[in-house]
Amino acid sequence: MSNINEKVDAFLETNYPNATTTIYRDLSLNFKKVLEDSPLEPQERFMNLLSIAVALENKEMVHLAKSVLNELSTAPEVIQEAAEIAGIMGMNNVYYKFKSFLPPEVAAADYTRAGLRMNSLGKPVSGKKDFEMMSLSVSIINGCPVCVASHEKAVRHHEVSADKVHDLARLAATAKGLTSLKKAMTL
Amino acid sequence: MLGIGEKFPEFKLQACVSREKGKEFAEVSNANFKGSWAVMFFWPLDFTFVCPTEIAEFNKAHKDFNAREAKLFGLSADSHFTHLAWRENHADLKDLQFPMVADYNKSLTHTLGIASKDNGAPLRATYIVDPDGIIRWVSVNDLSVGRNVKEVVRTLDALQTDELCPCNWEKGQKTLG
Repeated sequence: MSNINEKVDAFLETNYPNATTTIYRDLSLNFKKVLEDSPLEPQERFMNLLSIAVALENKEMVHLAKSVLNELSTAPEVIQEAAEIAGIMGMNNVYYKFKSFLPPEVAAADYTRAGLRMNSLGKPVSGKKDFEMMSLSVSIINGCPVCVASHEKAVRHHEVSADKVHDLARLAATAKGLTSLKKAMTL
Repeated sequence: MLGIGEKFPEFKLQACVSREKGKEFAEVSNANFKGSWAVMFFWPLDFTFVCPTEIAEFNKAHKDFNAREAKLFGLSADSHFTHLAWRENHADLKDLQFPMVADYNKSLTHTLGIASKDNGAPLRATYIVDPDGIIRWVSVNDLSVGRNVKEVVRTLDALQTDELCPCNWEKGQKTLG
């Protein structure tokens, strides 16, 4: 896995050159921890990183994730789906957030049927457990309460441990943090 | 007449699939749409009036069916040779993107129960079949009335649009597992 660690280090050095603040150290060390030493499998770490990075529109982070997934011999269709999950969850997160903002009686009475195609959820290329994990990661980024709660439940139902789920949340959090930090340097 | 919730019958029929010499004909069966949505539409008779406009409309909508991953099949009780002759003969049928199936002995027409009481020809029946081979929509017009293909696409869309996400778990819907 040392090649993977090298890629992560290269990503950090390239995108945050000569960064020495405590904030940078917090964020980069948290990021490295989840990617290098987590109950999540390496492929799980980077598939979720890819979904998260697309949701964050972070080009360099997408590149890092794809590069490692290729290293891990992940099938191209699986990589593509991981990236596109940010799309389908982008849709669902916005829609279900809309519903969750309304009083439950109103949502139930007037806005029952979503009327949105989501056949992609039915037969995921990556397999259901992985799809659910990535859906959870993206939902955490997009901050949809209903989605986070139901995908957490679904992921745990697929027997993914609480520790793994916790690391997905940490991964989403640190990816977001680093993305904003980049803005701090470039805006 | 076979209806909603019933399995679309097994069949194996000849079809005209192209005008290209040597590649005009192929066998079509349930295997051709196993695991996919399928739209099967019947017309009474080749070389008659209402039929080509409808068939051309289905052809124009072919990319809409494609976008929804639904396989399109046109059928009548004419032979596959007659289908080929009609395709060669009629401008609107020259570039069909789907097979013209020949239910020559009307076995499928009769199993489905869509033979006209007047002349035995297949009525203008349209079936939408789901990936499990189950009939999810059937619409039948009498011989002289053409179909609205947009309505077929709209219905297919509605059948394919379902909330599959876990937030509906609590309401007792089937899980994604």
